[in-house]
Amino acid sequence: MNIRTEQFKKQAALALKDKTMQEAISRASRRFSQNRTKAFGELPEAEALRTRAHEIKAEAIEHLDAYLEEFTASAQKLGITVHRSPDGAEACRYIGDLAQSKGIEMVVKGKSMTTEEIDLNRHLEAAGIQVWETDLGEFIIQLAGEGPSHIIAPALHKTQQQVAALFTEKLGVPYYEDPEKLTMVAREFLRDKYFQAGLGISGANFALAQTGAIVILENEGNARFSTTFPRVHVAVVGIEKVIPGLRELGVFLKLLARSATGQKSSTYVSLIQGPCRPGELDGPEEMHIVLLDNGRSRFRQDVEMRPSLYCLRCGACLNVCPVYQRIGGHAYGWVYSGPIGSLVTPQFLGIQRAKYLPLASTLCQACAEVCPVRIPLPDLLLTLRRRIVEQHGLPWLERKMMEIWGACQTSPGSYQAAFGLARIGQEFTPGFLPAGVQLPEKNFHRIWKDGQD
Amino acid sequence: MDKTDWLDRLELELKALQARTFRAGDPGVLKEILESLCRDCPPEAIAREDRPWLEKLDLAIPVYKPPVYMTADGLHPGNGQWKPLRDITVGITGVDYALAETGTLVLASGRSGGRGLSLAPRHHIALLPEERILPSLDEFLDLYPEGENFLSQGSAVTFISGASRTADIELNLVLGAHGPKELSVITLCFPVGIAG
Amino acid sequence: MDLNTPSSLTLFIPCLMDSLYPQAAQDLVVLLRKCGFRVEYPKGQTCCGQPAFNQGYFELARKLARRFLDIFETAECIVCPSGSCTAMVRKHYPELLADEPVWLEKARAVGERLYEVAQFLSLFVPASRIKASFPGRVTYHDSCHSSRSLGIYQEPRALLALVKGLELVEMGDSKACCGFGGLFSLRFPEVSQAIAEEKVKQILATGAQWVVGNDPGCLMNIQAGLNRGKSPIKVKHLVEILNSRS
Repeated sequence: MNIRTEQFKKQAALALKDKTMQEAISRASRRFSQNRTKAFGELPEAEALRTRAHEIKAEAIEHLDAYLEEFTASAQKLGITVHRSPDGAEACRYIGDLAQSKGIEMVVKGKSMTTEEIDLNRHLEAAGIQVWETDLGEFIIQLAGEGPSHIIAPALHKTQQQVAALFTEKLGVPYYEDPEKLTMVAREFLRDKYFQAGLGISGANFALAQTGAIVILENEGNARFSTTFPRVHVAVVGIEKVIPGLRELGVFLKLLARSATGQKSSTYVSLIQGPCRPGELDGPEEMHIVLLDNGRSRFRQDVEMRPSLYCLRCGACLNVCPVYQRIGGHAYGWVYSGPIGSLVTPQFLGIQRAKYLPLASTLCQACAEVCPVRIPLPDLLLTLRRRIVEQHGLPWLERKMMEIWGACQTSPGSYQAAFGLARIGQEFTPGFLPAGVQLPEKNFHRIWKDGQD
Repeated sequence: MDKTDWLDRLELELKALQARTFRAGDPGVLKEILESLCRDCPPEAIAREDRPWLEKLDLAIPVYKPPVYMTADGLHPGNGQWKPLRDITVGITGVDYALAETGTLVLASGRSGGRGLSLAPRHHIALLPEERILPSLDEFLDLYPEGENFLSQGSAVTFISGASRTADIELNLVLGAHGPKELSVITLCFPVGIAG
Repeated sequence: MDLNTPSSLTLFIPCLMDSLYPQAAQDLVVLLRKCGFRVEYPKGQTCCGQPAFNQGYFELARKLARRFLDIFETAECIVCPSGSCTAMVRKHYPELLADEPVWLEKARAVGERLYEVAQFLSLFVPASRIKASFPGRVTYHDSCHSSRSLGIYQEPRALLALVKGLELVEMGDSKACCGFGGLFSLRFPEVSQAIAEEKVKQILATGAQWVVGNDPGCLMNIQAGLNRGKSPIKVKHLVEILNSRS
């Protein structure tokens, strides 16, 4: 996907003018967060579970190398080929070469943000391989040629009219506005593909070190299809997904669906333990897991920012973020949006390239309140801001003004002088204070000094 | 939750997930329920899993047995699979465990011989031996303390909580996105002689 | 009076209140005196450094933090009519000064003696002492720092319940951010205004004539949003309400 993080301000302004998209995002995020609140209200010991989840992630990430080794050995025992990819380009090459070596012409894909992060589809298509996204939201944005606007509901910004027009244009079907009819259109269209495709690609929500299994949560069944019928299955898994085992998985299964959509459980949770076994009628012949680094070890070494690796990609922080609710996901300019996007994008792409993202927050802390693994998002945003300042990433004029303002705060004399100047200034530059706000003749310092108190 | 409440709770959760629930006190009742669920379905479009205890139930429903597609000469994958599976409208499977708290069915591919019948047909009918109902995920995980035994469950263990669904278009809930549109769970309240 | 109740109070007046709402600061002084406290105001105070801190200018924030601590270190009890400024000192000063043991200790000591005004009143002032009267329909805005950093929610509401003639109507989501975010409102004005617009919608839905809060920055931003929407609704600081006679 084309990276447009530098154009954040322009994109945000455009998003604010798109009333349809605004309404769609606003409505959806409100519904998700209300459902989440209700689901957590019904979960006994929700707060203790969140703390436990944080602890599990912290421990797993701290000992990541050991867990990755354990996972690799366990998975290999299950007959899975495990490949460590240092970066996205190498992962794409590995998967592309694998597909080509087997004469694979068509791929079906389950939803995976990680594969979007590395632009896998583009690489495979350039090699002449047809790639079909099977998650309905991903399928919609694939047809539209757009990026995701939300971490778990990628086509959130589209109305049913827009989807209907899109299907008519790209699939040649009659115009149906009914979401049920549209879903059936996608279902029918993709059905054969699962059986014609030689390769199924998925992500994974978790990788279990003790057993070598991967875990996929979904509601539609498209990931189950993509990982059952094609002869080869490749799972692209960020290295940070590794957790010790089943017991720990239990904690996350209680939290993840509730956090994301308010469901007690995702409709399907698949624990995949290798390719087809003797006596089984289906399942792939061959299974590969690509353990993707793409900067994650670097983030891990950065101890201050390390908690951003605990993310479960549930989207709860997006749903409560006042900024995200107004501008939607596309404005952020890359794959990951909302508060977590503002944290990881500068790490992936570099602070200079993505500096507007951590700045575009009121630090209201709504995100930290809902994060199932208690990532201290506002603190981490502040850390990034501090680094932006240290690296002189902000305009010279702003730094100068901050310096001058700071100097004015260091003595009551200069403070009062600044107040006086500002009073004069407000006559000439009406825009510098918000609408209708006026500085009074005397500030409280003066009132107190004059003994009127 | 009392053991006697587990079934009640399971059915409550299943109904909330748009699944149908039934109880069969004996094999005769089971057959009646199946007949009524499959009334509008041509017999050649119904198939069941090949489990020993399903066999013993003598349901007179054909076993799903596609030609095995794993061949050494690299046939186009899935060819052998699709036609037989695509034509099946009603897939009848067993259930290995059910988790009452969340209305979840646990199906292990190693026990049942595969994953397709609970995934591709439009209507999934799940036969659940009452003794396999557990209160929650915690109790299920207690069965596999170190995970080793868990691996013997097969290449895929699937936790199914309701019919397939999506809300990707303007948050409208639609059932049957890719997986089954209908889920019916028949709890077998008589001994079925499962081994292990 | 309680054994632990302080006899003299030191005022920490946020720079925004000092510059924009000095009458609210006056109200606070009168209110505290009416409750029987002696009130002191260190004239040397300027800004706690929050605007710098929030934008990542940590060195400058540290400088202002040390200055603040010097001014307030002898205070027996400090009262502040702003949730965000209180949170800045209590929560963030120790973070900023974590590597300077002497200053860290001062920060902790001062933080322990610092109260946001609603907290202070609910802890140290019996309800009978609040004799305010303010007829009108009012809705309360919980600023992000008050509610999320300091856990303040019941206190202002309990105090408003003591005000004669006042009718409190809750917004759908009183904790929703107002869109100010300090310099955020200058960096991303359209987004800030769009967030404020959502808050204003909620306010209008309550039918309230006044919006009350404890954070001058929020109040300023909400007033601006109301003005943009041509609404006659006005904002008031909690202490203005508590000090009013109709």
